[in-house]
Amino acid sequence: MVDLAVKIGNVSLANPVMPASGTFAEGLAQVISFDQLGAMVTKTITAELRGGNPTPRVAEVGQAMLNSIGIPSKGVGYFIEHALPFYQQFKCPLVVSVSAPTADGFADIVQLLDLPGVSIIEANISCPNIEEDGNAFAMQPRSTAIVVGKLRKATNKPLWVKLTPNSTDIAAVARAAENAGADALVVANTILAMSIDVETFRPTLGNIMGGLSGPALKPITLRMTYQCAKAVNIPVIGCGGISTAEDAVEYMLAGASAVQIGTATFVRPRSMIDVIEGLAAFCDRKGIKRIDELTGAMAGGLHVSEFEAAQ
Amino acid sequence: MLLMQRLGRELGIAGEVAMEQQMACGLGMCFCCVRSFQTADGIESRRVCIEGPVFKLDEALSW
Repeated sequence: MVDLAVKIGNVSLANPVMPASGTFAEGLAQVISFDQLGAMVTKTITAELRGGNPTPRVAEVGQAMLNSIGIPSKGVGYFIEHALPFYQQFKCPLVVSVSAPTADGFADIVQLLDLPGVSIIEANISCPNIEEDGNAFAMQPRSTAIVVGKLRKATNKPLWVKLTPNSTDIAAVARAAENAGADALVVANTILAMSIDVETFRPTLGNIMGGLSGPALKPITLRMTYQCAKAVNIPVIGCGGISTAEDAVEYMLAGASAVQIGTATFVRPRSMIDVIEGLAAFCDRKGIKRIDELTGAMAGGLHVSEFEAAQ
Repeated sequence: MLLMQRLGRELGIAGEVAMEQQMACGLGMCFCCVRSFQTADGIESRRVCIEGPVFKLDEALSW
């Protein structure tokens, strides 16, 4: 029997698989049992009401999808009143993803979420905001340090920080988040992209640009997970293009302690369960007793790992 | 749809409309498949997958 449990800082997860923010909500409970997940992760909530971006909000491109949803939010009050009680019926930790237009706004919303049932805060600093001229806090180490520092002062809950791949030096951003008090990093969000319908000459997204996710993103965010895991001493949660157990294993070998699955859920709503079962089968086949042994176990250069030697 | 809305108004006949939109999850999670509707409180986004796909004709807005 394989031990699938992992620890992310002080938080114990029954297994390393959880949803990526924005691809998970109450509706998925019609398809899978949330008690089987390592954790639940909400769609990003904001303090204020937000309508979201113009349609079309989604488009397919090759082995990927583009989205430009624009964080529609009914506000933190609606979340606390309606969504939080729903999630409290499940035993796995609830990760609440938050965003705000300013660093002070991030601090304000996490203070409102100092509630039982909110296990972990995931700061989505990979979204556009007004202080950084339409960019994201996580594109620069300096703005990352400011917002994470304010968040750290504002909450005692475990603080995960979700980084953007739209950064020239993600390892520097990762170090800035760690130094400012992050308990773990989520690497990464979607990569800024676009596509155009050549018949109509129109952009496929109403917002013209959007985020690319899905299998095509995986080699890029896997590389970033590797770079971040080398750069920091806090756990890294891999996210980007994971749709199979083998994809999840790759992320763990690159240094991830856990993984998030998003776009794959849109293709197969059972994807997360399939990955959990597949991870157990993989470890069984490889003779690995504890899945956390995989974290950072990529064999390098002339070094032959004990996993290779056992083959 | 605009013609049906006009006829419905002129003749006092209530109607419904089945709407389409690009959709990612189909379970109400992703908020991709929204359409706009005119309500007493202003314009509101509703998800085709979960609040629809059939809506009141007189509230539906075109592009």
